[in-house]
Amino acid sequence: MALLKVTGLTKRFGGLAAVSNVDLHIDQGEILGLIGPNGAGKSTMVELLTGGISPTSGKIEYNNRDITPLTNYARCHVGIARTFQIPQPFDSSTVVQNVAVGAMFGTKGRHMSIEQATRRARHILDDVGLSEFADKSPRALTTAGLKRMEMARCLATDAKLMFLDEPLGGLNATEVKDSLDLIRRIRGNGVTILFIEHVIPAVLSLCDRVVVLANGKKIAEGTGKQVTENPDVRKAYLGDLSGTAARFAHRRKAKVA
Amino acid sequence: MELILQIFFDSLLLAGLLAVGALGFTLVWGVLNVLNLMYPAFIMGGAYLSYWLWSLGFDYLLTIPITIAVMFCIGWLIQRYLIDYVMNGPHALGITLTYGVNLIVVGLALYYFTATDRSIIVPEYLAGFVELWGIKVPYVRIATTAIALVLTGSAWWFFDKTEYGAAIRATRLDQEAAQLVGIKIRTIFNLTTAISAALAGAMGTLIVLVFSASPYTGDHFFLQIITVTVLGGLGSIIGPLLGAALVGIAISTTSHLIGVTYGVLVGALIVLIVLAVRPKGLLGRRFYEA
Amino acid sequence: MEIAKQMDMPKSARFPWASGSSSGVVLAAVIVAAAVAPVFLSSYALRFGALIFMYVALAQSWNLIGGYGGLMSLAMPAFFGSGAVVSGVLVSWGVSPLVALGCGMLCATFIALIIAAPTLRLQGHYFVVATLLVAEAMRHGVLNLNVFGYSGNTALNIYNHVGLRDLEPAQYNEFFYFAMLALAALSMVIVLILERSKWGVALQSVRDNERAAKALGIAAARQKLYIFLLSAALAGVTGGMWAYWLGIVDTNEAFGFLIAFEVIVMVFLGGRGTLWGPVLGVCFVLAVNEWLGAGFPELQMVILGLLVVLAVLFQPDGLVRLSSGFKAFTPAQLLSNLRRYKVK
Repeated sequence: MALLKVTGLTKRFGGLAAVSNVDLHIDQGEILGLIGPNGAGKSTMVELLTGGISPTSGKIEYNNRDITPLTNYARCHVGIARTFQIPQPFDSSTVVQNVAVGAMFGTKGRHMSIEQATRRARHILDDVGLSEFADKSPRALTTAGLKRMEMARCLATDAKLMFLDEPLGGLNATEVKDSLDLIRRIRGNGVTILFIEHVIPAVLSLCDRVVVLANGKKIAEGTGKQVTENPDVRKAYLGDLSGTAARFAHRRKAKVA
Repeated sequence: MELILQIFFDSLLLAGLLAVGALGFTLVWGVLNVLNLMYPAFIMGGAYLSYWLWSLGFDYLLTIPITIAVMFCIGWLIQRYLIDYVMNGPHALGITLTYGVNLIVVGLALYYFTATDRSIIVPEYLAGFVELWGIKVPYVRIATTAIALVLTGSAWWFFDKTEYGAAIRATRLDQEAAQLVGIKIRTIFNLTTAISAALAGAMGTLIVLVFSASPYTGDHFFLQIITVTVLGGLGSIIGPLLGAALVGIAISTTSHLIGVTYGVLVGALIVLIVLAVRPKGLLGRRFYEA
Repeated sequence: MEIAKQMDMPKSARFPWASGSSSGVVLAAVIVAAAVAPVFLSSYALRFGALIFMYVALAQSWNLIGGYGGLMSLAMPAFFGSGAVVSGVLVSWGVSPLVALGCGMLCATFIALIIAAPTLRLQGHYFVVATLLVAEAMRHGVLNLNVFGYSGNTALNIYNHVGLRDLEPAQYNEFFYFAMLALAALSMVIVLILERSKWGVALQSVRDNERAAKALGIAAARQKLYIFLLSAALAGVTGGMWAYWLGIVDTNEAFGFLIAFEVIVMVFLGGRGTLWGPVLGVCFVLAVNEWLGAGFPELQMVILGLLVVLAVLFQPDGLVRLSSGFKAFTPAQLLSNLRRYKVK
């Protein structure tokens, strides 16, 4: 069952189409990977899907409901949450307060008091392993910690669909592993996830399906294996290899001569 | 017909003055991203400095380069010893700091010079007027406009043709990148504020030449300068110039046709409407264009 | 690339959520003390007290938008002035002073509503400049106003219309002591509620990181609008009361920047985004002014400027840091504060 269905999504900035006629869907309980070379339109996609910017054309459906006109905060209320590529903490609050904000204004938050939200935030921090930092400033956290805090914040909103924007950037190998474990646990709790990343092995090990964007268009979709063996995908990442090989050979000949 | 000519010459004069002033203000806003609320103090400083030198016996035109040089140094010091300390902080600190300094300077000026207008006696070689197409244009105004245009042209040349000018432009476009290519940011900041103060001082000097000086001179023209800056946008040198021309015409026309106080009102309203439609000013934040 | 923020919050501005903070009790005690104080106070002291309360109300009104909202708004003269002029003019036409006060407040709020949409979406310095221009545009607009017998460029004497002319000076001062105390208390209560409620959390989250706040379900634009309107309303009603107190409505004074900037300086000095910071700032500045004596308004300007420069450089978090004890003010700490934001 498709939790999120996107049809013909296009976003133009002036004359440039950052995203061009993209169709995709995410099924309930799935982890969908979104990859593509730099400038492919991944960030724009996330902004479009979470409501940060509005599309030039196209439709976004969530739970069979057209959410295209919804603002980002309204989308949070229906269960869509996101993390940011560069962590965006609330600097003048503690870590537990950061997470509590998610609890207070997310899907179930309307009726939660500050105390209730803070208690819930502490539970969540325990779950994700950040309880020792609960009453500290976010400045005390490393990048890995900040990204984990952001995921905790999303969990606090009771999101059903989470967009993780390059959550592994700046993490070392151990932190990556811990992060992937956490994401699998989150999925295990019934959350559907869209995972945008550059680190291909992580994408392959984590995602059920992968969508590849290049130059704003979807160029491939399928399992991880299918996608990596797709020649169009290789071309998008590495360029036209046949031409490069020919030029290389030509230059070698010129040197020898 | 006479009215149109009158408006034309008044616009030219005002535009010239505003161009000089706005260039200086745009610099600090564009390069340092600081809203310099002590800019009125710079203008006033230049005005009083020239006035004081003249009262000591200097020929007025001679005071102009002296004032510019002194204001340049003052600007440098202000940046180095004051504004430098809030550069990495939130914007509000910079605004409040510069406002505080403005209070100090204007307060001192009010105390020592009182609020009365001071004006100079026009030097003999500038006295009199020329008759153009039926209206009398005072030599003093022609000279002032000419000086303003020369200053504006010099600034333009500096930013376009010299290495330091290029360094300043680079810093405005991308501070990090500028640092990476070896530009010493702190020196650029000092230089920028220094030039800004020099231009402000120059505007002050010229104001005394055709109008008069009072501790409120800076504040009065500051509003117009803000209008010009916002209209022209922060991304270029020509922006403020165009803005100055527009505002000069708008204010002169309104002043002649309806009344002086309406002039400022009209200016402010124009800016607000422009901002409502284009939140980054008329010419927006484009890359540097000559 | 980092999103530059307008305001970095001082250490003292934390969400005091459910921390058992006793601010409410302290505030109640202070208000009660202030209410019974007139028994011991001379007429002059009553006047000074009224002045303090008026500035507290204004300072908190700016604290709402500038401290908790994080928006460096310079539009206060527009709201204060509208309140003053509208209340004053209505009262001079025979409208009941209380009703006129309400109208003044509504007018200020209405103006805030009109300018909110275009200004609140401006970024960085453009917002600051736009609010400044609004205030100036209003001042010039009203100066040129000539409607229904009211002329903007002459001062309007309303002393006889407020209904208090039969009072002795001591009673007059006492009346306005309590009137301003009411406004100050109202403003403090509003800020206290803000600090304790989800509304305050939402607003401060928007201030600290608008992008994140929106992603978490907070309607950022609405929060900014509401606080802008509330700030304007409070400034407007204070403006009206000020006009009654002075007995004269002068456009340049009402719409001038003198009071507005004084207030902003007070909030900065005391500690923005806190409950008691503005109070500290107001008392400090007014005390210094008293000490300097009424004879040198220019020197008052100079001292105010000096204070704010020193505060910004050495203690940007404000006097409210005194709550952490004097260690926040040791020379070593002050020097470290100086270097905190220095360009590298």
